[in-house]
Amino acid sequence: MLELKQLRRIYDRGDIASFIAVDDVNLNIMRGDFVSIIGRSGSGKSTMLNMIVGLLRPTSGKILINGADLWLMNDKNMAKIRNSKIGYIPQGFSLLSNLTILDNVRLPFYLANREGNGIERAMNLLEQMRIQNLAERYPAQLSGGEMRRVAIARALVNNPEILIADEPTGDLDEETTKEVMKLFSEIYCKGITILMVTHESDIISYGNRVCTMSSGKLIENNDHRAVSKG
Amino acid sequence: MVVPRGYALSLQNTLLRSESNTFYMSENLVEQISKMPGVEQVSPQLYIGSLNASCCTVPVQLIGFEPKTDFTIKSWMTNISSSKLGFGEVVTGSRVNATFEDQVWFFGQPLKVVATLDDTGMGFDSSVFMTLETAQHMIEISEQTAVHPAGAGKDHISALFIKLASDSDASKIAKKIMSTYPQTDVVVLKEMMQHISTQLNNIRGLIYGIQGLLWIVSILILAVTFTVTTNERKREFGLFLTLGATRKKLESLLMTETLIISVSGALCGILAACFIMFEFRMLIAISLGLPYLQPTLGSTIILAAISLLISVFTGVIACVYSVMRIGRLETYIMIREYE
Repeated sequence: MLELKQLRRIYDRGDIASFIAVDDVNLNIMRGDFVSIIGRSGSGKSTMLNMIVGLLRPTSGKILINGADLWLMNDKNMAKIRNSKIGYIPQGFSLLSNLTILDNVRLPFYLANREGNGIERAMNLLEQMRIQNLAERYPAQLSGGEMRRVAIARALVNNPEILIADEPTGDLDEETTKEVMKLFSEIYCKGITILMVTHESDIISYGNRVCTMSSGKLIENNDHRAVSKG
Repeated sequence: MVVPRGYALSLQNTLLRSESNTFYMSENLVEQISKMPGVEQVSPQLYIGSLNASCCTVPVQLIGFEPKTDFTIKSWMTNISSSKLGFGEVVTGSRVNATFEDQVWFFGQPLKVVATLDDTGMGFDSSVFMTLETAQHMIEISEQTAVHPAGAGKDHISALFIKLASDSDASKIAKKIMSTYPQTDVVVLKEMMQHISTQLNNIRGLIYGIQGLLWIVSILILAVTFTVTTNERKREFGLFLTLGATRKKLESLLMTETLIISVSGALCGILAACFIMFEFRMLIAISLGLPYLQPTLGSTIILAAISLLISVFTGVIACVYSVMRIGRLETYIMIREYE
């Protein structure tokens, strides 16, 4: 369902040499996959993810979603993909501080001009995330783990085909990391494809495929795939 | 208009700025000047400065006129015939606190109000009009408390209004009157109106200039404010795009916000301006030192509507650059600050 072909991003840094952040990456993600990409900071993971969700234009290469080239789409169609096909969990805290938790979760619902108000769906997801009691609170009143659950709920509000998470446990403690990853497992079990980028080796075991990113190059770890499947 | 020498400016102030003035000259001038060639009609007026009265917070100008010969005050009284104004009856200006059939008291003497003038924006608004006979009676009454300069012999007037024949030269006749009667000054209405018109044009030009300057400054300030605000909110806008908003939707959100802010700001400004304009109208009129007529409700509504449109237009112009800039930025650049 998601295919990367010869994906490359070069940062032009003016007077010093250009920097290749993503170097001819090829990846084919099938429906039902849980792909973890691990790599050190600066290895190009986030750059690659930003290109996949349509936030950053690749220097060259293709990103195919269900066979359609994402970067050949017009703004309207690309927005539609971001809104309904992809559930994106950005790195760090990405909630709007002036909206309640409920409104934050149903924000993608509102942006797509769908029928209804999305409250029921948003409340249902908050319940699944076990934070329904925080619906009327504001982000500033939540802990880091709670905010991450809200971001996951928001990513799922429009029933996406693929959930893309950028360092979803990056700044969480061990216990909260386990809780968040448990939620990812539950989502995966419901048949949603997941692409997750992390620098924490402890959590890659939750996926069925693991890739390593180093200096912009992506290498799939076939041993892990074998172990997971086995 | 003929007045005692040195009182030309006082007459202007009485007519235009509601200033209470008393100056007198001999009544004989009425007959003498009426016989001069080129003079078609003359009408005397007698001015009395009131003491504090029940109707008013400040002394008002009592103006006695001759209804039979008057051709100046009558033009303001369209609904009553000034020739029917009887002894002890008065017509009050719009700012005199008295209504039809009220009584106003001056020097302890009651006078019956038979009509009230509409707003003129001039000194007439704070004046009380009566026949020359009533005015002379008021002077007699006032002499019970103090000697009045026009009291003895009843042969004084304050000003003489002259209507010229159509083929007469106002300047030449004015010079002739002043040379024949050196105790007088002559104010030519046309020259006075030209002077006021020039003053008003200068003020209007200044106001338009300031308005234009303020408008340009407003656009610049708003443009900078919108740019700074949208810069601060780049992350929020980037997040909207990330979650599936189109750039068109984002631009329409920004424009809607701008319209709400502009309309709210304009309404606040209009309400404040209306409050100041109506509550401080007296202060404005006095400070201006020129004939000042309060805008009617209709013209106020039109002015408010124009102000609203200009404000909204200004807001939209100021916002365009920010909207275009945000529309062009790559989403990743917008949300990068939290990565």
